[in-house]
Amino acid sequence: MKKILTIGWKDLVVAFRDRAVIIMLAAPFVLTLAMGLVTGSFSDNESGFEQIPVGLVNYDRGELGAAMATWLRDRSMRDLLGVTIYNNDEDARQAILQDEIVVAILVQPGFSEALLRTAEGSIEDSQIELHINPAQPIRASIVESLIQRFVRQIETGVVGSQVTVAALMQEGLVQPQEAYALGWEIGGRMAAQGETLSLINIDRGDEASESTEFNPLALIAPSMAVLFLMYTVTSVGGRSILSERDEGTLPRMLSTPSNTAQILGGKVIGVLFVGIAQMGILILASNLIFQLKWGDPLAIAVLIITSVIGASGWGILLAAVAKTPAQVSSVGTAIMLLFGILAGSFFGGTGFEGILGAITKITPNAWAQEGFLKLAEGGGLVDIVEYAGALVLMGVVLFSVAVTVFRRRGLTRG
Amino acid sequence: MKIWNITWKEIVNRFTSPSEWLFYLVLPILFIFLLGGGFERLSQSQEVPQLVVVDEDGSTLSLELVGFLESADNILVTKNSFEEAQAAFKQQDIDAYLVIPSGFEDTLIIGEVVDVGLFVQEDSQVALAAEQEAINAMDTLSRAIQAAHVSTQERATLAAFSSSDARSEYFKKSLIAAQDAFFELPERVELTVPEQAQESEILADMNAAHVNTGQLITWVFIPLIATSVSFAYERTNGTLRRLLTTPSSKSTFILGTISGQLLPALVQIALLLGFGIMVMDVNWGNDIGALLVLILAFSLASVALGSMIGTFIKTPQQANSLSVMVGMALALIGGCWFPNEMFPEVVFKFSRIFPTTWAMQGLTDISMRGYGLMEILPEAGVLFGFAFIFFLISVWRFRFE
Repeated sequence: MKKILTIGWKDLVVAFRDRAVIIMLAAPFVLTLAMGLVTGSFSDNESGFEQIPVGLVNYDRGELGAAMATWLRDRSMRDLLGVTIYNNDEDARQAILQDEIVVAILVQPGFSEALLRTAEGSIEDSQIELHINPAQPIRASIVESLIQRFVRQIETGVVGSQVTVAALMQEGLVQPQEAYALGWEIGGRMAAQGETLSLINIDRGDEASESTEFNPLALIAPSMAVLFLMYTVTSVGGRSILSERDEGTLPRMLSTPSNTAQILGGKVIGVLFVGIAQMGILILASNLIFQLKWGDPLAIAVLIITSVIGASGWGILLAAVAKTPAQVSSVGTAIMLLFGILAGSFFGGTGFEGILGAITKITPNAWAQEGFLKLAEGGGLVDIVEYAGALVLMGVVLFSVAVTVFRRRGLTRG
Repeated sequence: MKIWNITWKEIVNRFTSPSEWLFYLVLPILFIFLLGGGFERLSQSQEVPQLVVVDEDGSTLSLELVGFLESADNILVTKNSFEEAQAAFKQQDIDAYLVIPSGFEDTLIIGEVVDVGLFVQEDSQVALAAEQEAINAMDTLSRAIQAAHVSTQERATLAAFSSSDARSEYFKKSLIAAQDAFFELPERVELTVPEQAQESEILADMNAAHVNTGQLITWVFIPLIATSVSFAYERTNGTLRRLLTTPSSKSTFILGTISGQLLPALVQIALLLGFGIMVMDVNWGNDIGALLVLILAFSLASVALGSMIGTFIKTPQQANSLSVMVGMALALIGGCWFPNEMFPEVVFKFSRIFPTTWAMQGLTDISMRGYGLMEILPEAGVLFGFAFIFFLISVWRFRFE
């Protein structure tokens, strides 16, 4: 056992002396930092979806065009939209081309007339045209849904007043000359009440109704940690076995009173040491620098160790089947990227669904990410048993296959 | 001739290992395909969201709600018992289930709010689509009921109903009238795009266009900044010193090395663009000149950055690690992985100091806005500027030993 640990410790020291490895150990940290910046995790979850620049051209001289202009600049909308008023649509369209605004809201001349008095006319005159910047489809769709909501509220008021007045007139309770005033009063009231009038409330169950503040970094940091763990155990860990063979140190080790199992065991322990150190440093550093709460320390330790076991299985298997260190390095990087994309590690853990989703179960990324997420959400050791178990099983199966391949090929033969 | 020899040597060195093809073509294509929704495209259909409705009321209004849902084109609706729906949901056989409680109609008729259970699978885009359809259907029904209520209340204010049956009858008539009125409403909001985008018919699939652009930049950028590996390799192996004994200048070596990286990159870009056009239906606009200028500017800026890094780095391993890390980080900040419209304003402004941001903006202008050569000149200009500065630093810092 002492020999195994000595070889493992030697590999850990060698890995941390190599500046190239240090750079790759820093990579998940750098990418977590970059992801934190772009998702607004360091600035009170500020994002590009605030103060979306929009332009308004109001050709409608009726009440609704004015109401929309007031609503868009209302205090409640100030955080969401930054509104600029344009005198004509040419200027607004030009602003779109120059990336000054995301959407130009063009209220056509007959908008109020068409909606309120159901006047006949071309449909174009009763519309709101949203002239959008195609390069910003997400922000444009947010603005579109806001405008749709406004239109729906108006329509609810209009239909409510029409139905009410028509029925009352039919019953002789309202005279034609009173109809307009009553309809206007009812419509205005309903439109103003808007969504508060909704009679159907959606109950999403206890879990969804709990509104806990969630830091996106709790998804991003584990994803990056596991992504680069895959790099370390495949490219760095796996490569060291073949490098020892190519540089002649492996046959020398075998000439000592150490057997193949001890040397291979030592190399495996070395990979585990490096992986655990990498994950541990990232978790500790992100906790200290980003104040990221990873969860129950004991469960975290268990998940780190089991994640490294699962990932190392792939690294050792790759070393067993590859012929040269360069092959391990390039195929290892390819596996890291492939597993990363399948498990959604590049995008904070949002992977694929369906068949591709099922395939992700062969990646340690998917299990580890889910486990870390459970812990960040407040789970404990019991909640990660499934994930830790799957990772250990993955490691054991892959180690067994790798050992069989090594036995068949011989540790010193390429 | 000397430059060509160095160029050819670089190309041969790079493609000696068959695994290079993994990074040159296989993985970029796979990433574009998977992230751009190619899997769904291949199966010729998007996954249809499955919603189970548990109708515990069995009333006219609950049936109407089910009818609204069933009439939606992009959702599969089935009715089942609560227990079976719950079991299927736990097994993840369905995307969502909706529970219409007993007393649904009676509660709505008296104008009180009713709670409807809606349970949706977490982290699933398909389930979100089912949720949205359910919300739309409930909104449609709710708006008509609101109108009917207002109508009934106004009637009761002016003249009291003779009986509760009369009130109920009046409510139902108003509800039918309101539903008809909502049904007849025309679409009031129209979406339009600038003329160039319209003419290029570019709006087919924004996600595919963004993914094609972003992944193209990522997979070309990283190998190009890995030009630093070549510099470090030649230096550590002493081959650069050997060059000192030949009548070759510093610029010949740098130009040859750079060309050896640049040429395969241009071919790679052409192949990835072709894949985007032919498989992912991405429209790369009508102005081939704009595309060529921008690609050249981006490639030059990237390879120049790689050369510059190569003059600072000591070993090929360090250069390799640094290229992967810097490449990924700059691709991310440049908006290649996530659209930069999501970024906080400060981060977006900060990102403009990186070439990836300008490359992304220029290529997005072509693929998503249909812009031509004149419109992308500012982005191309900035990228050429980056290339010039990086080359200048490379030549200044370059040492044979």
